[in-house]
Amino acid sequence: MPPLLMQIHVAGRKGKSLRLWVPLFLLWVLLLPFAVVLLPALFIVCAVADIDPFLAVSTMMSLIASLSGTHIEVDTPDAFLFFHIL
Amino acid sequence: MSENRRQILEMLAAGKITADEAERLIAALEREPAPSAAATETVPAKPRPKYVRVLVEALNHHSPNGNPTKVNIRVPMQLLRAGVRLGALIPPQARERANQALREKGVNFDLNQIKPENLEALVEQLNDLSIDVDEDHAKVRIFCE
Repeated sequence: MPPLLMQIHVAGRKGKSLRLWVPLFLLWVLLLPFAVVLLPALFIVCAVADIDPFLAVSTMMSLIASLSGTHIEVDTPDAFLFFHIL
Repeated sequence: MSENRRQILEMLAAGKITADEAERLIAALEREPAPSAAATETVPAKPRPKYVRVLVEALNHHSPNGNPTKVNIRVPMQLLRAGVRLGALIPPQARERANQALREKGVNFDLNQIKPENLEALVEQLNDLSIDVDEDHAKVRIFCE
């Protein structure tokens, strides 16, 4: 299952702060038509590069699906960055 | 007669090993405890790690209050697996070029050897992975959880 939400928090030490909850499920819905349009191009590229297109698609899907749980947190004296995929 | 003991005797008969070596092998077999059903039932299986965690703490000399820079990264194991599968999609020519570049840098590593079945074995071993680097200006800790 692809990740559904992404949480971003960027904060500067001078008080500026940005908190974002990115609904990734909406992003997937928006990207789906593009994916369908780009699919033939992907098949052509795979044929040229001698790659199994079905393997390529399944690998990309598994890569996206396995993003859930990724967590990156950077805390410097100047700024704080928090990035979490749910 | 156990299968291992029979193999040792056959190797001795075939002249592949000496009598001394056969004796040592049989002695080693006798020392090896037989796995009992009770023992396998009582020892719980270790949970497989789900994440690779990287913690970095670096002292920042330019900071006015001396606060260190901290980095905390958690990468799902599934992402590593998917990444390796992605590596399998690299065209053979590109893989060979990457291997050559690695060799030029002194890294004798063959990317063709990275396969999903190898990765599973690697992930199994990662269970006990723990790397601690402790220097004056930085601390790095890598482990699986």
